[in-house]
Amino acid sequence: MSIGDGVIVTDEFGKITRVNPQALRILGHKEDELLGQWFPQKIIAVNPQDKAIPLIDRPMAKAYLTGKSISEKSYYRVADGRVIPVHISVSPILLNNRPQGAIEIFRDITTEEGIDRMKSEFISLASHQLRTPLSSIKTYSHMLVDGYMGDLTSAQKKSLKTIIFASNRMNELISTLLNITRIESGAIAVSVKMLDTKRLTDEVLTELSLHASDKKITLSLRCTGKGSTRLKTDGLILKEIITNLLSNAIKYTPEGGNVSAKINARPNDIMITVTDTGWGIPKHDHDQIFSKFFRAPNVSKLETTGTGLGLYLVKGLLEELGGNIWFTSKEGEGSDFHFTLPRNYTGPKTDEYDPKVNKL
Amino acid sequence: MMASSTDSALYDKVVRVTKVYLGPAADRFISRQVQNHLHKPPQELLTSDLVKLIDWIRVSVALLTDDTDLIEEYTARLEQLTVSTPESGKNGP
Repeated sequence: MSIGDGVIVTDEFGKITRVNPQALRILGHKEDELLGQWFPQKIIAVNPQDKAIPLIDRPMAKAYLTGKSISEKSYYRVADGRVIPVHISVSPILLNNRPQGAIEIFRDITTEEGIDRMKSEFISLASHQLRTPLSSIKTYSHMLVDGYMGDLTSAQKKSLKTIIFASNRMNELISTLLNITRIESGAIAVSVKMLDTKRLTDEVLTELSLHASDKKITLSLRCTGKGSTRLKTDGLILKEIITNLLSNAIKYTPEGGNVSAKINARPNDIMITVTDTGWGIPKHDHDQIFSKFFRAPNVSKLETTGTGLGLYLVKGLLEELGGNIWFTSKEGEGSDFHFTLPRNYTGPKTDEYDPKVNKL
Repeated sequence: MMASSTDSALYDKVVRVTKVYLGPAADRFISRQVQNHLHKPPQELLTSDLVKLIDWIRVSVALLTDDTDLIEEYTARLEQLTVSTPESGKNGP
């Protein structure tokens, strides 16, 4: 706990028994206004739209329900009516294993939130600005290659194809950065429609087939399970997930290997598995594989184009669709990435319509 | 006859008492408390479990109401169940 943390202690009846000066400063109250008062009545937790959070959803209630420490971000309405973002940690106070109350430590994160928002806005703006000139580079490169501006030598064509390849790569990077910014700022829009996961996966495999054939990698798709391969989800987001996993599998599989997708249509969900015979992930790196910017050292030596953002993005996107992802992998033998999508998904848990939301 | 490990009768009694204070939320409230703190199906609640659980119920309810007398009354009624319902299962009193 740093000196900037507010501390509130409550008894078994939810009455405030201790409060430190920093808590008083953050909340704008005097000590005698809080001591002896009922915690939920005096410490008002709200959502960003200033609507009260149900008592059962407050961190202290969760800490009592689980018997464990709970840390989460929330918002407090302070004495002068302002709503401030706070990071809260609550632990039950136990005496001989019996709960006697709780201790809450919280921090005003207004400054951190502001910096984070500025960072996201900067990435979003920079990414959009980068796309415009890139689009011109790609268009004119294609026109030149296609001979609209006269005949070219084979060396000139080869150089232009390299420009197009690099532009496509940059475009992918910009899309990844934009998507990550949207996920982290909660501004991703999910549009749920009925779609066929088999058809979508097949479409992605076709798009990646050229890349795979360059490396003499065999691609395949099979379906198992007795249910339908159709379900309600966001097609654009799902396509991004499947594309990321399959292109990763191709990227990290040596020449002549195999990459396959398997769709297991189960009663309550659909499980999709992407399997490769690639370099695999060393066991000691398993914990970090979904971390931002992480690249396993064994592949970063071999493959230099990765950013370490792909799997971080995939995990974030799957969470938006109510899915889960996990993997098994052995270094030198390959990896299996499995993910599930619920059949009854109706959309993310958002309370309010936000006009600022963007589509992928 | 002394009961085995299951005691759905006790769980039902606890829910019945809780309904007086929490209304229709009673079943879900108690069920969540049993599952989270005892890691067992609610229907398998035992008297010895309830003794441990009452403290958690007390602090949780204290975040729903500031009426300490009511909380005391409620938990006293739950404590009463630990006395009147020994490990006696479905054939208990």
